[in-house]
Amino acid sequence: MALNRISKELQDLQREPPANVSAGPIHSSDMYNWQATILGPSDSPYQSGVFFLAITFPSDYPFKPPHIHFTTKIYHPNINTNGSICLDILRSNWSPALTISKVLLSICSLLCDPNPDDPLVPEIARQYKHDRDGYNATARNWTKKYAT
Amino acid sequence: MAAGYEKTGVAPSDVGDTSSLSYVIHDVDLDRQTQLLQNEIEREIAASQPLVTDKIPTAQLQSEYALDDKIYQDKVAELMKKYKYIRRTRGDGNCFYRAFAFGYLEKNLINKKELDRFRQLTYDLKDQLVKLGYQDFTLEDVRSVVIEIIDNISKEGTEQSLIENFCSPSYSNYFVAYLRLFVSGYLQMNREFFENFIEDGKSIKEFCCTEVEPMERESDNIHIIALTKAAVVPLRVIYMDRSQQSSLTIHDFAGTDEGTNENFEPMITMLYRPGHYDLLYEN
Repeated sequence: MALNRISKELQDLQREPPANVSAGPIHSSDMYNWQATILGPSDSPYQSGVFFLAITFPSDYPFKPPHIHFTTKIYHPNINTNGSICLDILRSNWSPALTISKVLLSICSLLCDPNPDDPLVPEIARQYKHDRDGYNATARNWTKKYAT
Repeated sequence: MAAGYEKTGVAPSDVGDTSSLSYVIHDVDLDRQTQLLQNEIEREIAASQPLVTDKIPTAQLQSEYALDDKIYQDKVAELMKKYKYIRRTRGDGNCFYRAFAFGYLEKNLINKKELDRFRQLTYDLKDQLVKLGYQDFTLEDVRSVVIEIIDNISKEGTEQSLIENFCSPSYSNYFVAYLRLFVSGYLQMNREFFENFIEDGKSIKEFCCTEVEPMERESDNIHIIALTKAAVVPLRVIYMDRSQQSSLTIHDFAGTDEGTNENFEPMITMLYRPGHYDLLYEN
């Protein structure tokens, strides 16, 4: 039943692709493993970067959330060096009414508006709060170095 | 930073080291470890508790509490006077919804008229939710499985086939997910009324996204009121907790706005013990 749902998500993404985001299976024979790309939002230090993410659907999808992590290095308070993302809808607030498309759009929002009060990397969160210029500079630097 | 450490009375030099170490651990390992541990706990619960059990004599509850636990032993004795059997549900945060679905279908196994009524509500809910902004295909998927279960039950349903359906996580969880949407839809369509009962300054929509729709999120009175009204199914809940009063607390939830009275006839009866719902049967 998970497969059926994942196929519908793929059709939906192809029919109405959200802005600055794309996603699909890495191999057409394996619907459970996808790759996604996010274009760095223009009003953020990630602007003009292209970020890759790996998506794995659990066998009991959509009752359990998809596993998503960045494979491109990114400097962000809610994304750690393994690419893990601290986002409520990927964890306890996931629900079967959500979709990959909505999750990717939420990740885009997270790039524009980090949530330093629930950080995955406390040092970056602290810098984001107290030294915004320093954070912007490093994030821009990493974007240039790893995502372009 | 130094000021913060001084307040706690710990030598700054010591704390400096451990705190930077803890960041590293958190960054690399802790996040993943937390998730693995959570999966492990879920697996253990799944291995030890079926999603729904057969009926069990209520007397078995006596052995769950210490013999000298007078408050609970008295209440179990009181419960046994009226309810002979209990059916347990897995303690996975979905117990209220699963008990509701099972209890409802079991009560109406041979009541085709009632099942048809519920089938129609199930069918209509999707369009109501689409109007509220939900994506059609995510609902269609869940609805079709729920309709399939209802149709199978009304054709040749037995207690045993129902148990089989509900012990299969895929069928069972689709039903739970859809009942959560019933609650969510009802709360959103009756926003003005329910807004007053939401705490933490959340909007109804936020409440539904964080406290209703996510699987495994536990239910409170507001969820119960919404589901009994949305499905128009009267429910009785017997509360058993450590409060000193000797009698059991009974809470009736009417399926309509007419309220409850002495002749209240519940379609489903549940036993509530702090954090968990099971089904109760008089016979």
